[in-house]
Amino acid sequence: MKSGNVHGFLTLKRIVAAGILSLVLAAAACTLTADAQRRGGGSFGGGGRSSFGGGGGRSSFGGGGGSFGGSRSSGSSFGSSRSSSGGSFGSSRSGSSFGGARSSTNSGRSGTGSFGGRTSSGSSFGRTGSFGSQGFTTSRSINYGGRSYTTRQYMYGGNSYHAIYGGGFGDYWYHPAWYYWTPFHPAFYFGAPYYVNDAAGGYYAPGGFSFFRLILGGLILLFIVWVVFRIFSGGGGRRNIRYTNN
Amino acid sequence: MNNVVFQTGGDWDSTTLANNGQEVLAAQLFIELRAGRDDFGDPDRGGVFDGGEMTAIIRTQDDPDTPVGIFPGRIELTFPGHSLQIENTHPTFAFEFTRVWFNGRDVTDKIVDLYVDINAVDNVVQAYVVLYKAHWLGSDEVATYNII
Repeated sequence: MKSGNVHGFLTLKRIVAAGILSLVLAAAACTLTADAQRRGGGSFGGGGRSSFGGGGGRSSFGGGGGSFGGSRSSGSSFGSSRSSSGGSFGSSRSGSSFGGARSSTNSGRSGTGSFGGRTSSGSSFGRTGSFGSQGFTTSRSINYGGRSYTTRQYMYGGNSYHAIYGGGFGDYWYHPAWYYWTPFHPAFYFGAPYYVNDAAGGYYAPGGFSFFRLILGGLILLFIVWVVFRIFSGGGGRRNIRYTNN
Repeated sequence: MNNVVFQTGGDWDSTTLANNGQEVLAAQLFIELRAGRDDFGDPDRGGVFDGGEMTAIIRTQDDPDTPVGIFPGRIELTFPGHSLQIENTHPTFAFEFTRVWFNGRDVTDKIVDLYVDINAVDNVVQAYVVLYKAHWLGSDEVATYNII
């Protein structure tokens, strides 16, 4: 009887110990699983369930990052059905790392952030005053060449004029650069803006194509070709040698 | 290595020839250089660098039948109003090592012809230089300078 009680006590003790051990193991497993989920990485040399590709659907949540260390499962780490179904590649989480939902969330967070901490009321761009040049006080629409143009401001000689910008190379001469004077730039072949005096106060219109400048440009280009030819042909044509006596 | 100096004031009395500081009693001083020509023999820029040929000899009064070479060495010729220096210090008188100065200017790359013949036996005195002058815009010029 006494020995039977002792035996029953030991059996109960084993059951309680086993239960406690099970609880500890279960708690540890839950902790590890939660930690793995938080980190988004796989386990390192872990057991069969938590390892690479193991555990079927569960492992997909623990994926996202590569795992190091082999699994203890009997299957191959690469190419097995379990791995392919639950591996890091192609799973929803791993896919979201590249342009997926998480990236969008990050973008949203970035968009709400601010650069620097400047709160003064001064300009952020280091400039003062109004944008660009002075604004026009009046606006004109001029019929020119069969089309209606809204004039723009043209400063010339310290005065402001209305000017038509037709969109061609003639407009370039409103603000000429030095290379417009060379025949290599298309603007060279267009005339300078000219003033049209009308009843409303006058305006500038872009110069048109100039045949004179075309001929002039051709002559200049021919001259350049000739000079280059003479330079590379030995400093001069031998057909025109002068013989002199000194 | 010779260092020949020829000077003349325009007559035989003022004409002297020396080599390495020693007067040379000569019957003839003859130098002929042809260079600065293209493949057809026409004048071209380049001077000595186009290739050519040169003869430079002195015939002494003692042995006028045996020409004595001036080069390798250097010869300076002074005429009334003009001066010439010709130098070739190459041991075997390779033509491309010739350098020519005319009135103090290096005309090595412009020389077409150089001719000096001071012949006391035949009483012949002649010297001229022909230079090729390349011009950028105008026609090139082959200028002949009559020295004496």
